[in-house]
Amino acid sequence: MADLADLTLTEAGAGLRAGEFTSRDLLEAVTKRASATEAHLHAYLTLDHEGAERAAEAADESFAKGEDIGPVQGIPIALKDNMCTLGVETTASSKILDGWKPPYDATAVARLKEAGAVITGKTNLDEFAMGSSTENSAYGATRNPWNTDRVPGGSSGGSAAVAAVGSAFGSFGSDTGGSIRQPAALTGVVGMKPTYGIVSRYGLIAFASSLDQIGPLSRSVEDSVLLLETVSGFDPRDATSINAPVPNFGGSLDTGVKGMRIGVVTEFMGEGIDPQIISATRAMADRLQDAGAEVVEISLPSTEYALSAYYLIAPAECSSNLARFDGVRYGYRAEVEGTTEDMMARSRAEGFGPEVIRRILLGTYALSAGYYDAFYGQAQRVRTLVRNEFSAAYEQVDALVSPTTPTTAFEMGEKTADPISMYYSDLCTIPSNLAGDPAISVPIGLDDADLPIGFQVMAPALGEEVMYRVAAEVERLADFTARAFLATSEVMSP
Amino acid sequence: MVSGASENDNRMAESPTRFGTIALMPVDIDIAKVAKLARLALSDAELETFGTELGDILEHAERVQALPTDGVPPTSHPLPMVNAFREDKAGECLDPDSFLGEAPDTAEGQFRVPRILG
Repeated sequence: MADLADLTLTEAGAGLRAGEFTSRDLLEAVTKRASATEAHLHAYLTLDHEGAERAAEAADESFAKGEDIGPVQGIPIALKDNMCTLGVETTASSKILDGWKPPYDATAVARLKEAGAVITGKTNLDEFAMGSSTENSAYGATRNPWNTDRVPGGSSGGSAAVAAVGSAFGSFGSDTGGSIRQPAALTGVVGMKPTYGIVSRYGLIAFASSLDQIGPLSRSVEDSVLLLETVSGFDPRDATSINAPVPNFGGSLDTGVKGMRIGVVTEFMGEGIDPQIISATRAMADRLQDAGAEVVEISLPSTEYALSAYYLIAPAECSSNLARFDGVRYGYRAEVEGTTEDMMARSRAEGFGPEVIRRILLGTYALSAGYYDAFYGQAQRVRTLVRNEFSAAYEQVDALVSPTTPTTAFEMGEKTADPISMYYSDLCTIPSNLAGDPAISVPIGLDDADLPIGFQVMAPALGEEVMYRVAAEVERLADFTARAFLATSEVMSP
Repeated sequence: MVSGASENDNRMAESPTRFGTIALMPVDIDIAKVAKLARLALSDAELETFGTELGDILEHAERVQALPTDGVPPTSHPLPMVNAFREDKAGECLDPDSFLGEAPDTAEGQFRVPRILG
């Protein structure tokens, strides 16, 4: 029998229901996969063996009694370590939260547990989700399972690597400027950022509250739908949660794109984007046209300013959100002679890593008296222009497509000394966060260095069904079956 | 007071854009003051490094000033919602022991901090 860890979530769920294997078998398979790959990857920060075994046993008992509470019942799933898990260490990859065990579950985590999911553990990220390579972790970098000299992307690099090698059947990350889609693209998996307000942010350690969204990483588009459905829906504990019925996300997966209008974003098909990625994106757009869609060029000129606006808005919000880490209620406290204020300033300087400090300083400056309107205020007005342009585009087309990233996976250390070049990794993903719209990355092929290329599909707010409809067709057309080197049999059976 | 970004002070940058060349606001950073506002006790060397980096990032970020935005309202939030109300009803609270145990220092069921006054 094939290794269970290579199944998609959908296949694993079908096998559980057919009695071919148990949830404990699935957990054993991904645990074995983690032991084989973790020394090379460092994708997990914490493996919760005991909690996972208890959940797998409970799921098997439920199945034995004929109880079926939904598609993730008994399925091992990993969580980014900025999602609070009751009693299980949650660090956001920061020294300032070293050893912290949350007294409650994030709403998304609680919903997964209620749905019978088996939480395998917590995955590595750039500290407080600030970064695009998972190198800014206080606990060491994660590596790319396709080539361990390369980064997995970030900030949800651990969750992406886990989904790519099969040390879980899917995972959750958070996306503030591309932190799910960019690592998904760089590791050859499907990564999706929902409409803002679809998934509760309660218990997600906040980075930039008006941009952050939790979303799934998976090995197929169908898996993505099932994971998203499990965590979606109104939550009174998040004041920005949308109080409306959850739309049908997966209703059009098999419909195809015939009759749809799809726009290719002109600004992401030229300067600054790797020519191999442009040609792969162009080829996929042509195939969508052959499959019956009308494909047109759409220009979104203000996206040129989206990156600059983002790097004022996100740090501004982060400087405010991270004020809570002061050595009083949780986490690291520096030993200093002096006042409480001295203790706080020293704890923060010692507890935060350089990228977090950089963004707190940037945000503090952008919000300070005399600069507020020129920087933060202007960035918010640019945000309006970006949103208006997207709205106008969606009057002409059903969905927009583009590359997910300007390059495939870059070398470890290549961009760490140059923050601005790192920020450019999120060029094509940031506009959807500013607009609050859903977007997904689907793997469509490999470049000439055998590194995955991601294709981005964007849709208007609450347009997940349309987005998934196009993504499913892209997945069929690409027929991307390559596996990360670390998940291949030569590594698995030495 | 250390100003790590002195080379960026009082500089008037010009940025060529699709709207022509627009004079930008000078990036003038008193990095020590910013660090104090952010409650970060940084060394002089750190202030110097972060000050220079911030100057570079802001030079890039200030490109937003090149877009004409007269009459454009700011977006602080992607949803068209004004407020979220709930019934004024007492709910469940966390058991204090569940979080006091995670604090660096506590006394008599409260968070304990060093002296407040210098």
